Amino acid sequence: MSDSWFKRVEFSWWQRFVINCLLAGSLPQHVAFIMDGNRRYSKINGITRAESYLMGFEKIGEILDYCEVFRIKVVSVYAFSIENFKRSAEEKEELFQLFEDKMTYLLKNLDNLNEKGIKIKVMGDISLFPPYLTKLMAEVQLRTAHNSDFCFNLCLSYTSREEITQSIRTVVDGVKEGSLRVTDITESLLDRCMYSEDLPPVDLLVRTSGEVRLSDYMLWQSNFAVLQFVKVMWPDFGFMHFVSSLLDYQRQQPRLAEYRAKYGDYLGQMRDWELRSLEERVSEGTEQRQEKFVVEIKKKRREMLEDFSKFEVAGA
Amino acid sequence: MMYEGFLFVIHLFLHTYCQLQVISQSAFNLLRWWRVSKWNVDILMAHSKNLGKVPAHVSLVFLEEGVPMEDLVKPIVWCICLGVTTISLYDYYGRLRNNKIEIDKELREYYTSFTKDSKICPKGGDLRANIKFVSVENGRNDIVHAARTIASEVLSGCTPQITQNTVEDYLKVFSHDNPEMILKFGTLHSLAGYPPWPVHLTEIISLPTCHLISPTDFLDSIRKYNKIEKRVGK
Repeated sequence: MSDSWFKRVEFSWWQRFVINCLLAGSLPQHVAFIMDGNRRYSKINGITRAESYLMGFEKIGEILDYCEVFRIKVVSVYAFSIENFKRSAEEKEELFQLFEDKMTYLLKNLDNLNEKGIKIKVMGDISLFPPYLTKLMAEVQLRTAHNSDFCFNLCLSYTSREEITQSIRTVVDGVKEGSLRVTDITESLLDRCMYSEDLPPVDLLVRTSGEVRLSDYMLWQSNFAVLQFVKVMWPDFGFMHFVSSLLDYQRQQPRLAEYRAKYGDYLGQMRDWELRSLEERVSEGTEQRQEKFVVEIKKKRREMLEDFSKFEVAGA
Repeated sequence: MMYEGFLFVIHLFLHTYCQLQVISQSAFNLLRWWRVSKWNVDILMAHSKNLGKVPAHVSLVFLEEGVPMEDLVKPIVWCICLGVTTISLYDYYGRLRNNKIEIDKELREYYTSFTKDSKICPKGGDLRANIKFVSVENGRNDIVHAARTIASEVLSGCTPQITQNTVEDYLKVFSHDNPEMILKFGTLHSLAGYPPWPVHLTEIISLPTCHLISPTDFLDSIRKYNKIEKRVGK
C-alpha cells in the first residue's frame, strides 16, 4: 500500500513560478472536492475499478500537497455518500478495503500528522459502516483532534440533507430539554451543530468528471462558494487544473465577498427585526445558552467517538 | 511585487477573453436572430425537435445586473412554451420580486398574443405556469424557520419524528418542489445564496448572459440537461 499522502511533491521551476504568482493574490481558506469519475476512468483506460479507486485515493495525497503550498487551511473530500450504500456488495467491499488501508496508514503516521498540526475529521454518520471501520475512523479523529494548523475533512457516509436534518434534530432536542429557547435557534447555531462544526465555510468547490450538480454535498457550507465543474476525471485532475480553479476563484471572489458582506448585514437586520417584534428580549441570555449548548454537543460527540473506538472487533 | 505584476497580467488576459466571449455571443445572437416576433417563440418551436424530456420545474437564476425586462421575460415565456409547470426566479436582492407587476404585464401580453396565433402554442396546451420569486431571504433562513417551527410543535406536545421529509414539510418556498434544472445567467460561478436544501440533485446549466439571449441557446441548455446521466449514487 502506498504511503504517498502528506509526502512533499517536487515542483518544477515553472510550477514554482505559477505558485508564487497565485500566492500574490487571495486564495481560498477551505476547498471542497467531489472526486467524481473514478469508474468512468477505469472504463476509458482499461484498468480495473479497484485500481482506479486506488489511483483516486493516491490523487488525494497530491492535492493535499498542492493545498499546503497554496496555504489552504481546510480540504474536504466527498469520499462516500449515504447513497453509495446502494452500490453492489463487491464494489462496497473494494471501497471499504481502501478506507481501512488509509485509516490504518493514518494511524501509523500519527507522529508525522501531529508534527505538521494536521487534524483529520470525518463528516458523516460513521455508525452506518461495519464496526471495524467505524472504530478506525473514530480513533483517527480522536488522536488528531488537538491539531489546528490544517484540517483534512473526509466526508464518509455523508449527505448534506442528512447533516442539516441531524443539526435540526440536535437543536430541537436542546429546546425539548430546556437548554435552549425556540428563539435561540439561529443560523449560526445550526451552523455550529453541523458535522463541520467550527470549520470555515467552503470558499471553492471543485467537482470533476464534468457533472454539473452538487449531489447533496455540503449544500449549507458552500452557499456562497465558487463552483468549478471540471471536465476531467478525478484521477486525471492535476496541477494545472487546480491552478485554473484557483485563478477562477480569484476572479470570482470579489463579487462573492460583496454578497457575503451584504448577507451579514441582512442577518443583522433579521436579528433587529426579531428584537423589535418579540416581547421577550431575545438577546438576553441567547448567546450564553447557545455557547453552553455547543460545548455540551461537542462533549457528547467526543464521547460517542470514544465509545466507537472501544468497539470489540474480531482479530483486532 | 514581480509576482503581483504577472498575476495582474494573467487576470487581465482572462478577463478580456471572457468578456470577448460574452460580447461575441450577444453580437452573434443579435445578427442571427433579428426578431420576427417579440419573444421569438416561433423560432423556439421550430428548433425544439429532439429536445428530450423537459424538466417540470426550472429555476432561472439571474446573477447579472442591468438586463432589460424584455430579455428577463424571454426565458420565462420559453419555459411556459415548452410545458414547464413551475418556474422559480432567483436573484440575490429580490429585485425580480419587486418587479413582479411588470413581469406579469409582459406575460399577460404573451398570453394574449398566444390566443391570436396558434403557431406559438405551448406544448401540452397549458398557458399557466406556477411562478415563484426567490431571493437570499429564502435560503438558509428558510431552514432556520423550519427548525423553529418544529421546535415549537415539540414544545406544544407534538412529537414529530424529525426526518428529511419533516424538514421539507416545513420549508416555505420549496416544500417538496425541488427544481430539476437551474439555468444560471451571468459570469459568476456560484449559486450566491440560492436556497441550499432544494438543489441537492439539481443540474446547474450556465449561460454567460441573459442579454440578447437566443432561443437556440435556451434549447441547447435543455438538451445539455437531458444528456446528463442521473446516477444518484449508484
